[in-house]
Amino acid sequence: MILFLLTTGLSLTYGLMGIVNLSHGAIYMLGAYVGWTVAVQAGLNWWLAVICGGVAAGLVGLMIERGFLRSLYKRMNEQVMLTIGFIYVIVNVTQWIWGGLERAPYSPKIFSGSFGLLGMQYPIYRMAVLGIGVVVAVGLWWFQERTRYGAIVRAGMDDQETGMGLGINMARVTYLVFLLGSFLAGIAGVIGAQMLGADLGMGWDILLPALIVLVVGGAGSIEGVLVGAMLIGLVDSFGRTYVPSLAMFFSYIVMVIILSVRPGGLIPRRSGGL
Amino acid sequence: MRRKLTTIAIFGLLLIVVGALALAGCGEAEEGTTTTVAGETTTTAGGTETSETTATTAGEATGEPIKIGAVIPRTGGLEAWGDWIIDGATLALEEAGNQVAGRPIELVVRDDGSFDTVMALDSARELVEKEGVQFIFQDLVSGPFLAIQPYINENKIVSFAPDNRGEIVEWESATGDRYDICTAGAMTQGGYALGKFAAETLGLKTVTTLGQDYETGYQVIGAFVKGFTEAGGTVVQQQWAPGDTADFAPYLTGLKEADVFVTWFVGGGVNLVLKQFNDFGLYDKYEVMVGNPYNLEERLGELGDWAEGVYQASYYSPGYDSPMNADFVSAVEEKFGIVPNEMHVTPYEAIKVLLAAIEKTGGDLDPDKIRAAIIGTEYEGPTGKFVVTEEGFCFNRTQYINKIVKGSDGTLQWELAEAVPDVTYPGYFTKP
Repeated sequence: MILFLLTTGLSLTYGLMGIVNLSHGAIYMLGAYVGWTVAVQAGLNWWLAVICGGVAAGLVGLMIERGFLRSLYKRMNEQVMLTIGFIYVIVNVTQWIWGGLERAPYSPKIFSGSFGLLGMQYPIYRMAVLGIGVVVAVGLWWFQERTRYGAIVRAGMDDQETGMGLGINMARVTYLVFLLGSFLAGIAGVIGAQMLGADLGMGWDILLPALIVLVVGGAGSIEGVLVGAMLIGLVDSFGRTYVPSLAMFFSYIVMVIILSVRPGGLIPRRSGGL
Repeated sequence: MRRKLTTIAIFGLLLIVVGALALAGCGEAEEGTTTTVAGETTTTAGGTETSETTATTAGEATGEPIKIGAVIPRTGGLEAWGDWIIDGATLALEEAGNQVAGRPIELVVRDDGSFDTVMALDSARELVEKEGVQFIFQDLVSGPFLAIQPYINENKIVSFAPDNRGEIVEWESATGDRYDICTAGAMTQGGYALGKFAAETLGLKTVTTLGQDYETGYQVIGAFVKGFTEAGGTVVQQQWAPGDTADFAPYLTGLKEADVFVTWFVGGGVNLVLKQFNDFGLYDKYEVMVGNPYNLEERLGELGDWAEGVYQASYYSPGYDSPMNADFVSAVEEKFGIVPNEMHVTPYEAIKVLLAAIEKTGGDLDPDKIRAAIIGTEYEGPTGKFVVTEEGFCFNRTQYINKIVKGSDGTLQWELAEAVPDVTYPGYFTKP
């Protein structure tokens, strides 16, 4: 679910703007640290930490888009170089502010503890992450498929020029989508920190799996990202456990197989009219 | 115009947010910062260089300063450990008045990027060829260590390990004439002592292990298993997880019944294991033991009450009852506001060993004479007594079994459970 929350933002920005924002993982990491500051260091409400993490990440993403990426439309090489550069900038600024020590996982009291099911104990926070992910998935799907603004976003994904010709301010739509995508990355960081804590390498660690999910699920498709994230997450976890020597290959093997059969991803976005 | 205003507003807002975050993080960022008498950080093209030098004591030491270099983490994931190493070394130098044999001493620090072998070698070259250091603190981790070890030995630089060695094979595979010294011993000694403690002292019969699928993981877990089985225990299960594993659910849900659960992961990985171990409600079912989790000590305040009762083995314990250790702990707490750990004590003791050797040679810095002055001499430090053998290693060391307890103030603290003297090097272990 953490992979889904993170990759959804990536999917929206790639699907709408054709920009692969490789600094997305670093923004996710920043969200985790901001959430730690609010929830642990300041001892404030965890939900506030989630919002703050998302807002901080969203603003950084917006700064990157407004200040740099918008002038690199359709220039893939430059986008890649720029966003990789921003990974180092964000990581180093984070280290400068919070230091090099990893932060222990933190979760609110309401999610602490475990419950019994079929003879096993399951952490409550994992169910909470699942629940939050489902709510976000449903909310995003509803927004994209059932609202006027979602229709505008989908129109932009299909044909930006025509959308502009119809009087839609696509520039505003693109940066709002970028803001939303980065916001989602930030809240993924805070929610994921319940299990993973916060460390300077967490952005790098999750970036490649997120890109695999993006490709496997289908860019621009909420349903595709959800299914892709569940598939890749399960394959990775169980692959590490049962065949650890091949663990690093499993996700790629799955990606190759799926792309051979369905080049657009598992559930590609349906392009069409408003 | 409107677009320009929007851009300005966004940048302004971002500046405010970053500034607020910087203020919020200021207290955290200052923790562990080295107190230097004089020095600054300079950034040059191609990398970050940190030059931190200690002041000399005016009026007492004269002549060309003796330079001690350090190739340690100043950036990257292990930066905090680099801070502790500098703190420990600085404390030892200050206690000696920053001088030895009538000459002032300078500590010159360069970065190894935590795991960057190229940066480590560049830093070592700079220290030797440009700064002219006579002694060096080596890298923390094996990759950079193996990168610089041939170079510094070829240049006959007496060097010191800033911590114990996880992979003894790296030590044994080092080439050429040996001038590298490890006063801290091997990580396997702690694992071995912990295994014996679990079986003999606690009477535990069976163990399940979860270790990092990596050389040091095999060493620490293998050493524990050896100590445990020699004392009559039985291994019911061994699991290995890649170092970048974030979700340990598949391993933890598959744990077999046993008396004790043993784990080792580098860095923050052990925190994730323990937290998720607690999340799955497993603490009531197992005694829990870990390898040398330096970072756990700094994160006791962030761990929950569930961490109470976790055992750990190390060649150092802040609770070891000796006047020397008591003074050391007080000095570190007063100066750096932190309970000392292995990263403080090893460079501290190494500096003391080096200064004693220089005094013994009458100020002669010839590397062969310095090395000869160190080998075979018994020293006593906050870790107790130790002797550096002909190999430049400490193959017999006291190991301390520490346990997390709740102090009288309600905070989690380390408590010394048992001191195990003369723990020998238990051997080299491969993945079973």
